[in-house]
Amino acid sequence: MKDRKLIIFLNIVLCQVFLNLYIAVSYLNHTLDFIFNVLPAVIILIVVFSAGLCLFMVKELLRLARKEKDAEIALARLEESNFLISTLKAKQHDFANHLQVLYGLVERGEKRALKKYMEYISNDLKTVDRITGLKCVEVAALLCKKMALSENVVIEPVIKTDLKHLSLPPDKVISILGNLIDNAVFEAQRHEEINNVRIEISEDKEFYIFEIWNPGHIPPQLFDKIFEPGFSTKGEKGSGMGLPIVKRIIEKFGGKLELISRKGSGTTFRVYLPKKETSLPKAN
Amino acid sequence: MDDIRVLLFFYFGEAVLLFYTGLAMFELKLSIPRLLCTAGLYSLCIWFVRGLYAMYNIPLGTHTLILVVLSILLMKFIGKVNWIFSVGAVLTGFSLILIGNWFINLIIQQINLTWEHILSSVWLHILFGYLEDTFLILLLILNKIFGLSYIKLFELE
Repeated sequence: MKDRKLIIFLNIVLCQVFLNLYIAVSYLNHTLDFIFNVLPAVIILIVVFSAGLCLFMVKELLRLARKEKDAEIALARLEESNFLISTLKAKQHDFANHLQVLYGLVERGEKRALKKYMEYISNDLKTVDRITGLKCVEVAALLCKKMALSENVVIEPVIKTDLKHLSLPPDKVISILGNLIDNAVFEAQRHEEINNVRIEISEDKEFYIFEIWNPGHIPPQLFDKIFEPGFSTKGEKGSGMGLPIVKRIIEKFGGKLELISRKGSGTTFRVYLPKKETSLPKAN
Repeated sequence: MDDIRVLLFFYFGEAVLLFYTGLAMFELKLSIPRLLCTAGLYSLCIWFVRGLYAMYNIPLGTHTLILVVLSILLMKFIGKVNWIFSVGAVLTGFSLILIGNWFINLIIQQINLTWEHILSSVWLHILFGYLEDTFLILLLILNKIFGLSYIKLFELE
């Protein structure tokens, strides 16, 4: 991409060289004698030609800049996919350990413990299956990353859809979910009794619904304030920009954000993100 | 209109040189049929434009700009070359032709000839036409022997 920009600049230079040579040769050949009669028209012609060429080149440059941005997004996707693959490989290794435990329990005849352990692994398998079944690889990678890196907090994903027709660009979805999950984990870490975060992803006819629950509580008088830039309940640790950014992105792409918080019942951020229009059922 | 021999023996050859050398500077190549087709159409354009200028007694000079635009369009739509490379290749070729024209004018002044005299003779027209393309031919030789190109000069990919 960078080299195509250089070629465009080269073309602009060549254009100027050509025009200068043309004017010099025309002057020497005395064709400018004729041109003097229509000099303003010729100058306008040359300026228009030159400007047109430069405008075209700038347009090409902008197109290249857009392509460069797309390439960066694609690279980010690739990195997320690589992370997902290594997480799943680690899970595979994990299951080898589980098999050893199962073998041990069978050997000892611990039927109840064996059943309980198998239920646990089965649920884990279902969760992994659902996460890897997500068509939006970035969301899958984000969930795996958050689950792996959250200390002392258990993240429970409940996934009821595959996000196949999500209309938002992946980087925007990650920005929304990443901020909300980080906030939820922070609240769960602060909570004395409950240390888990539940993330539910489902869908209705028009929207994909992301519900992020944490055991914390937001007083009703702060419901609007938390979306103001600079306001944070995290004290010095918070920049106060996470939720305003989340709200701005959601509104920009035609989504909705709901906040439900009751003392003793935890806090839920419910995000509605629109599906692609082609995926919606036709009227006829 | 110029003599048909000028079209066949000079305009066509110059067109081939122009497109071939210009694209070679970007390490691009047209297939032979496409190159011949583009060059053929371009040589017809030169013949036609110069004929129009002669018909309406317009002094030559501004026809160059018209031919630049036509050659870019031909290279893009007939040669199927990307706009960026079409523009660069054509401007390279024409810049070299203009430099050649400059030197030829110096030579003509030295040998006490005029362009009217040269253009009135078919074979002189062809000879001096190819002399004007000297720098174009020189760049082509440099490209073929030493691999000289914008790509290598500016370390582009």
